[in-house]
Amino acid sequence: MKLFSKKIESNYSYLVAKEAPTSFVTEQLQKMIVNLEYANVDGQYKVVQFTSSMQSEGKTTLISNVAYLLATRGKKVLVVDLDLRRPKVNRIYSAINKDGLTDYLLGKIDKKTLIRKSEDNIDYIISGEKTSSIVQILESQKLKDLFEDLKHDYDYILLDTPPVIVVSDALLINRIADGVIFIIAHGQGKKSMVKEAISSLTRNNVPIIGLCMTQDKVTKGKKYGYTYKYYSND
Amino acid sequence: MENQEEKGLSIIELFNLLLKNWLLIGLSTVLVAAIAGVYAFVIATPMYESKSDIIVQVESSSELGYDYTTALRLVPSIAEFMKKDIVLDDVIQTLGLETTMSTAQLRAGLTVTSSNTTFFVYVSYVSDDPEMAKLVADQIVASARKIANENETFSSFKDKISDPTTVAKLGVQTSPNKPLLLIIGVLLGGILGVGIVLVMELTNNTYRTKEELEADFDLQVLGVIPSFEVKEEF
Repeated sequence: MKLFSKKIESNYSYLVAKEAPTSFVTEQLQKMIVNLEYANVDGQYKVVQFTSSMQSEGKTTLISNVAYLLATRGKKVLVVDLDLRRPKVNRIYSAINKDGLTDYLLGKIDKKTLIRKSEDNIDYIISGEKTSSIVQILESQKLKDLFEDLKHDYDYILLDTPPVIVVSDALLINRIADGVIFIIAHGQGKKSMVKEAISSLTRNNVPIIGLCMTQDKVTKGKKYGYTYKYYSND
Repeated sequence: MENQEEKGLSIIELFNLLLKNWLLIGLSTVLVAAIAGVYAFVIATPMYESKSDIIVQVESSSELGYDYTTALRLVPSIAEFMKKDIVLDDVIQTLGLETTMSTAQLRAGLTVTSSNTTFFVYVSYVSDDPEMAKLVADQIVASARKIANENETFSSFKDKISDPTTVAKLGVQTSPNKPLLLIIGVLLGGILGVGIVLVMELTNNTYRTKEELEADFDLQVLGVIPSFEVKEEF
């Protein structure tokens, strides 16, 4: 099991939704998107923050796939890496972590260079050069302004953020987000820790749109249910 | 709040749980069996047993025939007599074991049994040396005969102890019981493994199902995404 998760971690550029569009995983991802779209029927959640209680619960993998599926549904999607400590979004799109958000906020690059486009037509912003003044960056007015501005251009802005328990970054990012999707990896975080993380998020008055369980261990019976057969027939 | 039903394990779930943890159960089985094996084959001193027996002589002391009643009382007395210091000391002296063995040590390996329905007295001696087991078992009988016939105190035993009806043979290994120890090791290891898995399952306080999340948080579960392997088939 541990071997598998290692493999997933090191392969951020693998989009299961793209490579295996008829798989059970993709189907479950689609379901999640439908639920998200229903929850967001009024379009009030433009900036969606993805966070979890701990590291390696599958945030980045989920974001990359959600972004891809939203884009295939004709949504304009922007993925932003706000995990300034352990940036990973650049790995999804196999980009070098250069000329990113921190560089923009320091005035080194302009908005046009900042926003990149992936081959799947998804816009993304990488974290940029590593810095020690992360808190200042996340609290900066310039960052807030940037997102106010970006909101006009996109249907969804997905934020990849650090886990809540480890650092306070996720709570600072909360100020920018319209809503939070909280990720819980199957059988990983202690219940008390997840509860603590969620309650610290709710204190900030930003609505939690919903929870998402990742890395679910599916029994064989569930995995090869009728849906799988149905799709594999065509 | 979770109710009992949700917490319980069905047979299928239990089976799957054990199947999933086969490695742990297997390891524990092999480990404990190996410990048992090392004990049985390496650590434990092999013990050898030699057996001898005698018959208590019955006399026709009256016209009524054989005096069975007295003889039947004699049998346990002689069995008891064979374990007495006077006999054991004589054994030690005759075999020249004064330096290596005390009377108590000799008695520890000695078993004398009789039954109240036969006139036989069975002597068995257990030692880590098969040759010694044979010598002692024979000498017990010989010494008992000698003292019974020569010592005035035991005049009532005179000529009552027969020549050995079974002459002790070279000691036969009786312990450790290697197959039994191995089987016990395998069983204990298996039980231990299953126990560990069950305790781990019962004390697991992480989130593993959508229902657990829904029970603890007043939030929508947007999706349950299975863990997936990265397939690199292109």
